[in-house]
Amino acid sequence: MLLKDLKIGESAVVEKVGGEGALRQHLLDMGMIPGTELTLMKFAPMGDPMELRIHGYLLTLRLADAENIEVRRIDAESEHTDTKRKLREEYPYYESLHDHNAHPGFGEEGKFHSKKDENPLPKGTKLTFALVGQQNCGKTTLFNQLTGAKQHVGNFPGVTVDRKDGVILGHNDTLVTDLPGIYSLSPYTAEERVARSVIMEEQPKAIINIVDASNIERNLYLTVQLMELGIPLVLALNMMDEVRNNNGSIRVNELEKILGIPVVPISAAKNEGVEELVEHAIHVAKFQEKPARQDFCRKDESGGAVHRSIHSIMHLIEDKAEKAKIPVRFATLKLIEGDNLILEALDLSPREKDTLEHIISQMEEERGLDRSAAIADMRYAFIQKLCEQTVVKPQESKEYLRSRKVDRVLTGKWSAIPIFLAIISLVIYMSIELLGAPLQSLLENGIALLSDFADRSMASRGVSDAVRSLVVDGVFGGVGSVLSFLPIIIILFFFLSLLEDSGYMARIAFVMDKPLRKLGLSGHSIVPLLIGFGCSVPAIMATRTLSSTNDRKRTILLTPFMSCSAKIPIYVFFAGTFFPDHAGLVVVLLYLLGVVVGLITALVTKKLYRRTEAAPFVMELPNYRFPQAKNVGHLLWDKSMDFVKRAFTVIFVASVAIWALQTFDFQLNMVQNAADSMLAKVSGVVAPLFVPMQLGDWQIVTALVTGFIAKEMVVSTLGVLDVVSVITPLTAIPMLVFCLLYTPCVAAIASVNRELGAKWALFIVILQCAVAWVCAYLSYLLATLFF
Amino acid sequence: MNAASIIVLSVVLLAVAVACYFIVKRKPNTDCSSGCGGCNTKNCPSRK
Repeated sequence: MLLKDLKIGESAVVEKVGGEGALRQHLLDMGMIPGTELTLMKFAPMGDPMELRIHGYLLTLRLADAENIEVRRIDAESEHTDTKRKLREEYPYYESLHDHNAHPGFGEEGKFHSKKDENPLPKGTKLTFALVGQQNCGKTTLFNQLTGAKQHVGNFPGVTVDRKDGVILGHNDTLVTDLPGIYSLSPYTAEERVARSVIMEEQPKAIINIVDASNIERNLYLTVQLMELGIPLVLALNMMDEVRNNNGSIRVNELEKILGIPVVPISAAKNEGVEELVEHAIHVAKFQEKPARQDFCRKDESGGAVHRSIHSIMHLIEDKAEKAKIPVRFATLKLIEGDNLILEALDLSPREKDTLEHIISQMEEERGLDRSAAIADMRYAFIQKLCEQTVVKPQESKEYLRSRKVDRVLTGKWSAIPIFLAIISLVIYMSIELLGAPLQSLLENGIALLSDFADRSMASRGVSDAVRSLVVDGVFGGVGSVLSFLPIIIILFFFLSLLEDSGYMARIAFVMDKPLRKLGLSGHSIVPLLIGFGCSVPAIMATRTLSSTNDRKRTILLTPFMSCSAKIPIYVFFAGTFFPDHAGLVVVLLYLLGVVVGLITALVTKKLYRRTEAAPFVMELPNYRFPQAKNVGHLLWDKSMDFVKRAFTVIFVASVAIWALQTFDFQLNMVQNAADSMLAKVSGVVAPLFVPMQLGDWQIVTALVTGFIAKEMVVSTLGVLDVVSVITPLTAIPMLVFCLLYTPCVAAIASVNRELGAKWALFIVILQCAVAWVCAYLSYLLATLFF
Repeated sequence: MNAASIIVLSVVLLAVAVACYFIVKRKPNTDCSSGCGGCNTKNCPSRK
């Protein structure tokens, strides 16, 4: 039967994984290999995707992708036992490497290597480390502990999209690089290609491999691949506190004896064991101690076909691999898996390629599995047996049980969507209205008092009117009005970080996958879109976690329609001034309008694009965790500082420039009437475009033009130019709609340029200005019916 | 223009100069001049 035909609560054994390419390899890497047992937990509220439990973790998969997987239902409890017994009989135990290698006492400081062979790196060599691990296993938390950095972490797979370098605290001759989370070293996703290229091209002196000890089986899959690279490696077993709390344990000494690498149990979040990890990492790097085991296949395993093929290919390509400086074992396995990048790098002769193909085909025939599945199976068989020998698994983790209970409501069939909408509305309401508004007015009053004090001080000292105007209207009017919105932005980011840190963001992606697929996007796109409510710049950067270029382009196109927090000052200003009785409603309607226009744009672009098939949705659902105050604090601090920096750099300079442009004419004479200023003349050129919606006044156009620099500038320019007198409730509506939809700030455009190139950046600017103009005009026509 | 005006004006202009310096100095955090770090931007050498 097919996996998609399984009923909720039923278990089955995987018989065949069909399909091809990246998705198939990804499924194999995630442990979906023939012989594996899985259980169907639930379907998303709209019936698709499905949630499976496999190797002790939760995996989501679309029904369309599940059609490629054949399974055999396990009907009776005895069959569970049978599957396990068969596994025990088929695969032998792995002996410790302790007795027959030159690495006595693994894991004990100073005993990693035999003294007579030691060949330490010259003194003063910079010890470079790559921090590698699967997604959501705590890499960035560890990186922050190691380096004292304050990088953003979240309970969502794929938070790290950038390279981060840092020096280990107290060890100035070190440099550790935090890499994006990867499931394997296949070259299919951008993250995997990057991690591979960093490790292979930059040749770090050692790798710190962090694994989630509460989900050790799947995590070790990456470990065995890293060991194949032959680079000094230290294994950090993270979240050991959770394992212990759930009555589990790991026989660390035995694990390191079998693997032949130092293994250090840690809890990155609690900073436990990190010091010991650093000692081991520095030691293996300094003495260049390579993993003692690289061979994970056995002669007596499943007829030995895989073992024989690996070793014969290793002999075949040994010289080419050495020449290309690729570890031979790693190159062999990648060749078997069909990795074209390695094949090109090795530059094999046609005859060698033929031989290679013959060996692999023979192995497939003897093993009864295709090449990729055979290799994945070999690795998982080793890991499974290793875990049987060294891991005492907890029955069911408290975190998992808690997550199941919470998920019954948050991803329940009828409750998921209403709760999602309620949570998002609540976040916006709390940020803007309930908590944000009083704090904002408090800060505003403070700034006004300060401005007043500065004005009086300058007046008493006889400072000239022009300079006073520069300080009061230019600096305080511009920077002050923007700075007062800091509380709202902090509160919005506080709630967004709670959603992400708790693990709810991943559930939103799961719940929203089906509706987003109708728009030609995948559930993953919801994350950048939600971040877009905070700021378009990180949202555009967050699209890097999307595996499909098409998804990325279309998500970036839609992101600026999600109203960013910089537009809040505009809404609050206009709604408060012109619609004081319905300010909250106006703001909510604007947010909704942004979403609706985004949806329409998505549908239109879906029609225009021929190839809009959404990328596969294979994602791990992390357990819910309580957000850590430290993480949330770091994020808020970063965002606040970023906002304050912007206020005192870009907005400050722009405010002073605008003040100068509206105070002087082209002959640099101070103008009596602002309408004679340089600003008025320049804005007058664009103004006719806005005449149809009665926004043709030069002050309004100036405010809109300055919005290109930063959206907060619209309000500060309105403050500097005193525009309120020329706007009415009728014209406030098209003004608000235009501000909502027109091109994001320069920083966001620069991000689009960085991600997709100048053509796309220009296209997005033109498209959004056009959409904004049309919508603003339509809203004006609609408003004339009421005002 | 009296001395107080000149002092205030100088302070504002100095602040503008410092702000301009920080604007120009600010690098995008996807700079990969020190090696590839997974920025996956249009110029990223690792991007397929």
